[in-house]
Amino acid sequence: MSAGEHVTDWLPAYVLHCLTDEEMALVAKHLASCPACQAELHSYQAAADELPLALVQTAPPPALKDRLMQEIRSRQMKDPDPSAMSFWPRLAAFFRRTAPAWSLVVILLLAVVNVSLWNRLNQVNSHSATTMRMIPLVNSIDSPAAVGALIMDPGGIYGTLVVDSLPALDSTRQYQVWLVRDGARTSGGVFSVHSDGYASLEILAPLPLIQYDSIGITIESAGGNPAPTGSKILAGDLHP
Amino acid sequence: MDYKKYNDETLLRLIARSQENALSELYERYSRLVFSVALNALADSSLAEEITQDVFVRIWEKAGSYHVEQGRVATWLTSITRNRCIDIFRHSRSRQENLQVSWEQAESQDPPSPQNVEWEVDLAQRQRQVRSAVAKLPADQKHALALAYFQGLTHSEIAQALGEPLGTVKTRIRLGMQKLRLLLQGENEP
Repeated sequence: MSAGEHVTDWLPAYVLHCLTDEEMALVAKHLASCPACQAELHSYQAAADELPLALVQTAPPPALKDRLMQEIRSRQMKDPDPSAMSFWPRLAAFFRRTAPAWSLVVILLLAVVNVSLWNRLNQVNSHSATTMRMIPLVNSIDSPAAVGALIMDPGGIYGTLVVDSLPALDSTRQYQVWLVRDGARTSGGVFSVHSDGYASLEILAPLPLIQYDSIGITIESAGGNPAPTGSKILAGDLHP
Repeated sequence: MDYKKYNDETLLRLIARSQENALSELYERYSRLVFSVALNALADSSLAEEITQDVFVRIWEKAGSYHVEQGRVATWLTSITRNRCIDIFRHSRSRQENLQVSWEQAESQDPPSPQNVEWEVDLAQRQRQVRSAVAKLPADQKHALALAYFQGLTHSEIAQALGEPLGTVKTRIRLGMQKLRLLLQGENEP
């Protein structure tokens, strides 16, 4: 094999890493400047990647999952204890923990100061791929004091719901988030509010949030229902 | 919250946000695959368990680094597993090759039932395709591919392990991969 020749015959061994170091280097050098061989490489790589699917599948011992989850939890617990930190890290941790609350304060202030500014902000946000989007939620006649907003990441994939002034519910009921797409409703999670009516919730959805049309919140049985049964408390259009 | 309905990529996004239940669901889906790759590479159940745990701990810590461009999640998991096994081989002074890999019979899996979600149907279909393709390879080519893929052996090491000429091993690897690629491409054509 010389540097100028196509390396097609070497690619099967290259994807399996069974060439010598020198041979691997020669193939890599040629691939760097040869689209035809790169395309061949991808097709061989795809074939090699599938090989494990042909194995007899053996289940690991059931206890392994318990050990894994314990390991995960112990790693989480190794995170720094805020009480053991000095003042500045503690202050930073406080702001991180209360970020949703601060976001809500900002949202409420903006809403009170100027409704038109909200519209302009939304227009700007909808054309920007680099800023967070804030979707204000509209309350209903059943919840005249409720306020809330959905904060979406720039890609429209994730979102955090922040609400305030919602009535605290008894233990048999919870608020449930619904995501609406082409008329179909998917649960985005359930939550309860603090005694002051405040809550924040990371929305869990099978699809990126941007693919839904709107969001709504209803009161449902504790743990949530398969479909909404209660009246709408808050709602918002995800594509205003 | 029913995590079964989420696809693999969504589970990884949730794992990146420290959702334990998402990791639990991903483990339910792929622990058999990861464990089987490790077991076939190492031929040691205890080590295979250790590798399986390592792989999922790594997923827990690195889920945010996954991008769709890297390929399917299952491929990402098996690549991590394979690399960990090869690392163990390379750090082991007395390497013992596992010369037997347990390939599944081509038609040994039941078709997915109607209540299966999309990812289950897709995985079952891919398994059937790959098993059918591997079953059609000559035994000597299949064996050489297994030693290369699961144990990370070079041409020379495979030739030594099998007591075969180097040229013969090179030919088997090349023909085996060419046929596998052809069979899988044929299976994927409409």
